[in-house]
Amino acid sequence: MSVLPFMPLATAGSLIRQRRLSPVEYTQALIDHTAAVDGRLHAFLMQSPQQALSDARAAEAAIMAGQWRGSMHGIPYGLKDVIDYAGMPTTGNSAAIVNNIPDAHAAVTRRLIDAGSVMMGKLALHELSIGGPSFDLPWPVPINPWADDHFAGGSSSGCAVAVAAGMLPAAIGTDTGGSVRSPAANCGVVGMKPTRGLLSCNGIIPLAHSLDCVGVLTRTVRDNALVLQSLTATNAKARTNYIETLDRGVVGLRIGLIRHFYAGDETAHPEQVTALDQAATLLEKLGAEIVEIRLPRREEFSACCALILFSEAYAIFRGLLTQRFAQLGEHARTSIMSGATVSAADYIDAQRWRARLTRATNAAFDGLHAAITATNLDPAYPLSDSAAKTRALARHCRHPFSVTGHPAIAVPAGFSSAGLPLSLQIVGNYFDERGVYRIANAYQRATDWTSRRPANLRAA
Amino acid sequence: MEDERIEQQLYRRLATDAGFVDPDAGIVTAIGGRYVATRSLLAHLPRDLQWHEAPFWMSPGEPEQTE
Repeated sequence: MSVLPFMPLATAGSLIRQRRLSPVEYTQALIDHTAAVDGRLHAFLMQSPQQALSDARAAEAAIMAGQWRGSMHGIPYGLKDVIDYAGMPTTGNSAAIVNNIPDAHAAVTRRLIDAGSVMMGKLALHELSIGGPSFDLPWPVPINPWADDHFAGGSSSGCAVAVAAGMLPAAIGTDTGGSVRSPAANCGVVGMKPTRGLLSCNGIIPLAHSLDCVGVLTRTVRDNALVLQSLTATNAKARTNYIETLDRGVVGLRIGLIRHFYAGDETAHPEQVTALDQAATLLEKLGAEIVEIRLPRREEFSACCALILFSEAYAIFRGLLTQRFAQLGEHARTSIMSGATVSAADYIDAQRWRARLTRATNAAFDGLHAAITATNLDPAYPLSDSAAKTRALARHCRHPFSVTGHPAIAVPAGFSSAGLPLSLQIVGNYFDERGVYRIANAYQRATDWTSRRPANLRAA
Repeated sequence: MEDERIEQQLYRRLATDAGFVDPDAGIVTAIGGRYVATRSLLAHLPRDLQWHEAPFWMSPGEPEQTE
């Protein structure tokens, strides 16, 4: 196998800048690798090899002419298929809108095009980003590259699978109730949900307007910071540069440990508990001060998040629900329908409750640089295990920071004895993405989880 | 029995209000299931929300700012 599919984005970007790696050669290698492995993994809904090679040739010509545009120039990426790319269908993996072709790019797509990146295609997801996995959708369910027939997480499933399997160095997903962090955790990659509002959701099929965030999936923390930096290049709220503080370590940082989320309110898988406790110990050895903190119970955040998400999703999709009921998959249909049973007063109360939960979280974060906890409570489950699917819907720690809007990143934290990825979640103060990246990078550099490759990347 | 009949009426009303043209075609059962599910979520809502507690986008701010 070529070394290009798993080359870190930072390395590829540097070689491209030095004209030692051709964007065309790099793109072709990823197209070939995808052709070899995605027949079985199903990360892509639609590939765009002609667009990719055209973008790569344009990038190469510009760089050869001395017009290097930054670390994403000539770098391939994919988009979760709720994010618009003009002229290419945005289907949301739903038969109800399979012919939706936007005539303009999403704001994040425009940023990547301006950065000279290479569009490789649209990536698989749960229908309209809600629930799943489902087997009654237009495209097949993505498979976890670490274990045959295991759930890849979602809803940005294809993003995580493509990145974990070396098909892409970076993918752009969305995270409303954890849809970037969940697949990142299950597939052993890095998934960043920035502060809500940092990145524009313009040109993206919404799920819940007050919760939706754009997120970034990569194999390393450094790569993730580079992508987010290119997406926020002109955002005054973004405290860039994310890279300049990346290698400063954690000496003197005060980090909260939210242990009751995974060993109190409910108990995580024992290997996940051990991995998280070891992560806290490691950060302490690296020089951070670890302080155990308490937030409201995890279930409260989840109930609040679900009420808001269902209500807002129903407001968005109720026309689709009534006009194309039979074309929607069962899971999306019933999830969206939930919002019809929540009154306006209940929704407002859930938002008032959200303000209270946010105040409590901010009070607990007072004086801290960041906090750590679990991403999911369990490793990925077999797709054939319907009881595990139901159980997993409630066993995670992603909703609290969807509710509060804090930046949160899922970082690989080892493997279970069955070889399935485990994950650490690092949560920062508002608009302090670079603080989150700094801690995540220190942790990643002190561990070797990212160097492992899924063993079963065989052809279909 | 009477409770069940009232519940069925409620679900049919919800389905009709939501615009489903045929609330009997399995939809009443489905919406009934979702109604029960969201009640269990609403059971977590705090009972002591105060008048001044507002959603974040319509917060009245600190007292000194509003007086």
